[in-house]
Formats: sequence, structure tokens, C-alpha cells
Amino acid sequence: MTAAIATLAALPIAADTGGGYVAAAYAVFVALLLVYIGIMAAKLVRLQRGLGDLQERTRKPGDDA
Amino acid sequence: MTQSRFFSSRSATRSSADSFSRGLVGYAFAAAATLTLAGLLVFFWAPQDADQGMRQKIFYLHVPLSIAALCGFIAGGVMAIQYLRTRDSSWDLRSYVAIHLSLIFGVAALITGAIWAKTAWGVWWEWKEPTLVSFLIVFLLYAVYQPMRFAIDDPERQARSAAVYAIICGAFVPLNFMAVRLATSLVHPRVLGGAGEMPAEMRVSFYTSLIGMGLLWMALWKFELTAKSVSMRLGKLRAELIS
Repeated sequence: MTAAIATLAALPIAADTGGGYVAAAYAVFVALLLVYIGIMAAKLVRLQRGLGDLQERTRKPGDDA
Repeated sequence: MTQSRFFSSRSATRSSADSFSRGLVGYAFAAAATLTLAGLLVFFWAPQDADQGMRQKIFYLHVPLSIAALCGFIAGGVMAIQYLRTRDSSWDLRSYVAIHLSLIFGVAALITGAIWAKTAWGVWWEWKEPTLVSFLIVFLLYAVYQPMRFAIDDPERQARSAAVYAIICGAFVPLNFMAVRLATSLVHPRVLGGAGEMPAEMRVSFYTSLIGMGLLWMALWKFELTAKSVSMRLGKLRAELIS
């Protein structure tokens, strides 16, 4: 982990080399990907809730016994 | 008019829903591994460009994103043809998700392209550059797809119109690409088949990024298809239960 951080710190991402723009471009990609995954995760939670609701409705009286 | 109404109106069979998720985990792991490898190659192996230096590293992200988006648009058109041939609604769903996902990749390509343009040319956008403008035209064409689709109430008509639109736009993408290739470019570099050949390290890094992006597109496409088909099945079950 320490080695990875040291390697990342050694990357020439100073503003004068355009490294800030490179970091921004990759950050945009990661952010968009995370937003997409977040939206899909919210959808899956809704699906799970819907499934639970359906299970409740279809449960016969006496199933709990 | 809403998405849920559109999806609940289609009958998804169990077999098609299962086929959507087939290979999903494999694609997801392959995409993660390839993109990680691509990142390592891009930042620790590929040499810096003599003209642009570190700035050129955006190329390994921006170009694969653009290619994945354009190929996704074409794939959406091909799936729309399959829908019109077979009238199987699962092809309509495949086409819809392909175009939806390619639009997201298109947004990422436009933003990363603007950042690259700013750092390389000093401007966020260059209207005289045919490659940029043509990509924007294609993107805007597909941005109309969803509002057009959901403006139609009748599910059958909706799917048919969307398929025809996807086929026309899908055919426009390669035509547009060829027209731009024939035009004289002002500043935009040519990546594939251009006069300036990349060094081997750059080429390998680029193709690894391209494969990784393709795998990511496939994984997300299968993921969204699976989620949507499960949602449709759930909606159908709920409707049956209520009726």
C-alpha cells in the first residue's frame, strides 16, 4: 500500500505538465462510472423491496407456524 | 409514457432473462482486470508523447470511450434489425439498453475530449474540427432517441418506431465516420490507420485500454439488461397477483 502511494506520488501530475487535466479526465470517468453503479444499486434495492413485498402477499396464513 | 409502463407492457420470458445474465460475472472481472492492466501500462510503461507529454495520457481513455460508444450505437441498430425481423421484445430491450449505455459512454467521451482539447489546444471545443462536430451530431441524434421513444404510448408502435430510428441512426454512424475521414482534418489527430504510427508500447497500451473499455461496456450492458428483465418479471408477477 505504501509502495503504491509512493509510486502514485512519483507520477508527473503537476499542473505545468498538464497532469491536472489528465487527473481530471480520469476522475470524470470514475465519477460517471460510480454514479451509474449507484443508480443501478438503488434500482436493485427497489427490486429487493418489491420482491419482499411480493413474498409477503403470497405467504399463506400458517406459513410462519 | 413512463419507463415503468413501457417495461411492464412487455413479456419477458424466463429464458431470455437468464440469457441476459449469462457471462455477466466473467465480463465484470475481465473488464476490471484489463482496465487495471491498461492503467498500469499507460502510466508506467508507455512513453510520454514528444509533443504533448503527460497530456497525451487522456488519449488512452478518450479514444476507447468514443469507439465503445460508436460501436454500441451500431450494435443498437443491429439489435433493432433483429427486433423488426423476429418481433421478439427481448431484442428491443437489448437495443434500448445498448443505446442508453452508449449515450453514457458518449457523455464521458465528450467531457474527456473537452478536457484534452483544453490542455492540448487551449480551447474546450473547436467548432471547425469535423471529428468533434460529427461526434456531437451523432450524440445529439441518439439523445433524441429516448424522448422520442417514450412520447409514443402504444408499446408496439413505440418499439417499432424506436427500432426504425435506431437503424437509421446506426447506419449514419459509419457513414459519418467515413465522411469525416475523407474530410481534411484541421487539428484532431488520427489514431487508427493514420500516417503517424505509434510506438509499440503506446499501441499495446492503447489496444489494452480499448479491449478493457469494450469489456466494461459488455459487463454494464448485461448488468442493466439483467436488472431490467428482473424488474419486468417482478412487475408482471405483481400485476398477476393483483388481478
